[in-house]
Amino acid sequence: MKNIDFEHNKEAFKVPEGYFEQLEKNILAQTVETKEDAKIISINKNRKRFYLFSSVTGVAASLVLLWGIFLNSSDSALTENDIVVAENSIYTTLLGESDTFSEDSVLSYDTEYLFE
Amino acid sequence: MDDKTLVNLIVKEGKVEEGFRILLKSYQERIYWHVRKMVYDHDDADDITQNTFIKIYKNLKNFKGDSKLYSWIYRIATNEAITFINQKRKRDDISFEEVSYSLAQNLESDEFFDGDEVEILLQRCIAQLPEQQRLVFQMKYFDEMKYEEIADILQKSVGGLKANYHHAVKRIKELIEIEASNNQTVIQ
Repeated sequence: MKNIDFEHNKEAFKVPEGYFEQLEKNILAQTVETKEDAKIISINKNRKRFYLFSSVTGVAASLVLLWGIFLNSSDSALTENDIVVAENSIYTTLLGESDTFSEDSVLSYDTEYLFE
Repeated sequence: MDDKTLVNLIVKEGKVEEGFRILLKSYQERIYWHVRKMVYDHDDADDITQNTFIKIYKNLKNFKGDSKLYSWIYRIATNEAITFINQKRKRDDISFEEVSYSLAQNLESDEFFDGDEVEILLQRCIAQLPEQQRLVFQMKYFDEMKYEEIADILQKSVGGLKANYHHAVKRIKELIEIEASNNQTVIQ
C-alpha cells in the first residue's frame, strides 16, 4: 500500500456506461473525421481567371471612383440647388406634371384661397 | 501495437491519421483517469481529455520522436489539467491548493463517485498538497508509474521526485490525522 496505512478503493471514481466508446467517437469527430468530411471545392482554370479579372476590375473601379470623389470634390460636390432640382424631378415623376407658378403668383400666395 | 512501432508509423511512414486512431485507442482511458484524479469532476475531465487529444492530433505531424511518446502525451494532458486549475485559480483569486481542495469537496455529491468516507478523506488530503508533490504522488500512487517515467513527463530529476513523493506521503499522513481529530471533535 505504498506507505499509506489504510485500505483504499481505487475504483471509487466512476464513468457513465459506454463512456469511453463515446469519448473516442467525439474525439475522432473533432480530429480525423472533420478533415475527411471536409469538402474540397475545386475551381476550374477559366473560372479562376474570371474571378481574378473581376476582382482586379472591381478594385480598379473603386480606385477610380475614390480618385473622382477626393480629387474633384470641388467640381462634383452637390449644392443645395441641385438637391431641390432632384427633389422636384422626383415629385414630377411620382405625381405627374403640376402647375408652375410665376414668381409674382408665389409672392401673392393666399393660404385662405388654397384651403378653400 | 507498442509505442516504438506507433512512432515509426507516424514519423517514418507519415501515417498520421492511422497512427492517431491507434494512439487514441491505447491512451484515452489512461489519460482520462490521469486527468480525472487531478480535477475530480467527470465533465471537467471529459473536456480536458478531449482538448488533450485534439492538441495531440494537431501537433502529431511535428512529433519527431525525440522524446518518448507516452511522456509527450502525458505532458500535454498534465499541462491541460494544470491550465484548467490555474484558470479557476485566477478567476476566483485563490491558490492552486485551494482550487484543488474546493474541487475535492464536491466529491460527496458527485454522482460518478462512490468512494467511502476514507476515500473522500484521502482525496481531500491529496488536494491540499503543493502542485509538484501532488502530481508526483498521483502518478506514483494511482497511476503506478516508475520514477524514471515520471521524470520523463515532468522533466525533473529522479532524486527530486523521490523527495517530492516522500514529503507528499508524510504530509498526507499529517493531514489525515488532523482531519480525523477534527471529525472526532465534531462528534464529541
